[in-house]
Amino acid sequence: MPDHILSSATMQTIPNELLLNIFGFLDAPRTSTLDLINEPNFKLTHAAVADLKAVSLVSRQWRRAILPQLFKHARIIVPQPEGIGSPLKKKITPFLDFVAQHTLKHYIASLVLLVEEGKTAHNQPGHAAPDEVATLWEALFNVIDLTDLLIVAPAEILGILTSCRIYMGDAWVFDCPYHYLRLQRPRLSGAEFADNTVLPAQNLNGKSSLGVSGLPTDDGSGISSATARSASPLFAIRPWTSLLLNEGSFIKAYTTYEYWLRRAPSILPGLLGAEDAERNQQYPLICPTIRDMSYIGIFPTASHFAAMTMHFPMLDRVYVQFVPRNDILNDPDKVARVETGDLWMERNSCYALLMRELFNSPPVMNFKHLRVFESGDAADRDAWSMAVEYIRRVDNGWKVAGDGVFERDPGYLTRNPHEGDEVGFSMGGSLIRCAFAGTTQLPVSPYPMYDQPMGPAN
Amino acid sequence: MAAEKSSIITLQSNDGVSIDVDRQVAERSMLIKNMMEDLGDEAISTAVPIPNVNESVLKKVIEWCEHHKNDPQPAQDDDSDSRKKTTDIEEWDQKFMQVDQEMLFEIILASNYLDIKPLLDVGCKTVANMIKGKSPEEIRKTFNITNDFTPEEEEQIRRENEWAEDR
Repeated sequence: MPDHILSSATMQTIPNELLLNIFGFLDAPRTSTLDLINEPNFKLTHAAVADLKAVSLVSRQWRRAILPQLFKHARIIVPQPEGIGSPLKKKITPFLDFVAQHTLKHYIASLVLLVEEGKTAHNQPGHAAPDEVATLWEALFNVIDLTDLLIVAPAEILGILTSCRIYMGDAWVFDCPYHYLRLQRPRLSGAEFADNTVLPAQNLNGKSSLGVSGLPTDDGSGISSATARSASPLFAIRPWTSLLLNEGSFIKAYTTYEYWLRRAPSILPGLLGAEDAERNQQYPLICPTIRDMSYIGIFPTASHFAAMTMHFPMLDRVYVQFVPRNDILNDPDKVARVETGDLWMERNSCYALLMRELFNSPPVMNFKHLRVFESGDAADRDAWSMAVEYIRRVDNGWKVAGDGVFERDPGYLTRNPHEGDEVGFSMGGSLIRCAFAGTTQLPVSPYPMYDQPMGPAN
Repeated sequence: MAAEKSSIITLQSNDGVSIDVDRQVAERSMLIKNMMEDLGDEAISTAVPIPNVNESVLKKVIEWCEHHKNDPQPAQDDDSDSRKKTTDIEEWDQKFMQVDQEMLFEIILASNYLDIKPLLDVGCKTVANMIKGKSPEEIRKTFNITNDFTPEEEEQIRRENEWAEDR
């Protein structure tokens, strides 16, 4: 006769396997990814109620049972670092020891690294030793083969961590203490995992990855092993496939004289290989394996966002969002001394830059590879109606698939190959989906900007 | 086959009580269903011993099976996360689960033994809902669990938990 019948059934008589079943029902989605499109917030991994953490404090048995589930979504909070590189590595080491001690590395599905704004102003990008940053990432990835990394840090520190030079001269006119950078890739099977070890540091100097032109060589096949590695240790360490950058609010900059000349503290230009503040051409740091990119900013200036359209990486999908989802525009502190018309004008200019390239015929540069354009913003109703009228008249395969959504039958591209890529890349293709988050009446309509709604006629 | 489906079988609890039950109802238990398939008619004529479950619990489990006899069978290997997305419990099941803790855990153990996944889930969800929103101390109190941590260990766990997102 089993033991539990002799004594009455209690929580203590429940075997571990059933305990895990119970805890499975407490598994809440990670808080950090729920809010990635809103203004960056240092507290995004915090929650008022944390059942799994409470469970872990009940008893030894419960702690042992819950650990793998709890640490599925790990985080490292680094309060006000004295510097980046070895001080940061010192903060990470105890975490890595803990992961090793409890053999948690295979359970960790994601990591959020949160670096608090420092009190000292000594973290100038030039002061970070590149080797230290490479060592930091190697130390982390040697222990955990991360497939989902989110960094929450001030722009300047994000620059150091990505080995990206950023211009801080105008940083004081911006009010975006934290940026988000998220890198993701698919989980590999066991066999592939063996080939996916950390690259030795000497391969990370980027020299070998550059062709004669000084730009990364790429044969158009997209992923071309070591020849296309990024010069940034973080981008080179794993074949990332998806990137999200949220740069927060640009609104405060609009209160300054000639705001459009202000350079935001941002990794975007360096990431994409745009000119730096001294007008030097930079090598793009984004790795060519990244085919899915999301860019979020709250009313970025068109001069800032132009880095993206002028140095558009080879992507299959791009997502952008310029208009806040929260009520920041109703916050008197945030919009004090701002002409809200300016905000909408810049929003419209950003979209004008994009639309011109998206509907260029034929599309140029990497826009010819793009298949999906998605926006988190609503389209302006007048401009949308005009575009709808246009595609109704011109037979180019586009159809209205919903409010703010155009779609094109992928078969159209096969039947009309000239629409895609004149050079004839086998993987080439072009836009089959262009989707806004519905339509709305904007305070400032971009309508006048679209006298040729699908771009210049050529 | 149709006649067989509506036949009555006898289950015998571990305290020796025989309970007649509609075969379709009893076959909510994958254990019994597989046994029936293996033994065929032989099983119908003799009482099926359920050695891990006493009369009151077995009756309670049968009550649940009776109410849910027409539910679609869950997929065999449906052990996925999708099943765990929610702790919502349908109204009838909620009322059914208004029992003392001893019975609650007996139902969980019995449904696990008898392999009745949907009932096991309802039981586990009920316990999960009793944990939700509570502090560690409140959880211990609810389930009469002894705190076997020293204050130093508790402090260390709190520090280690900082390395996990709040969940």
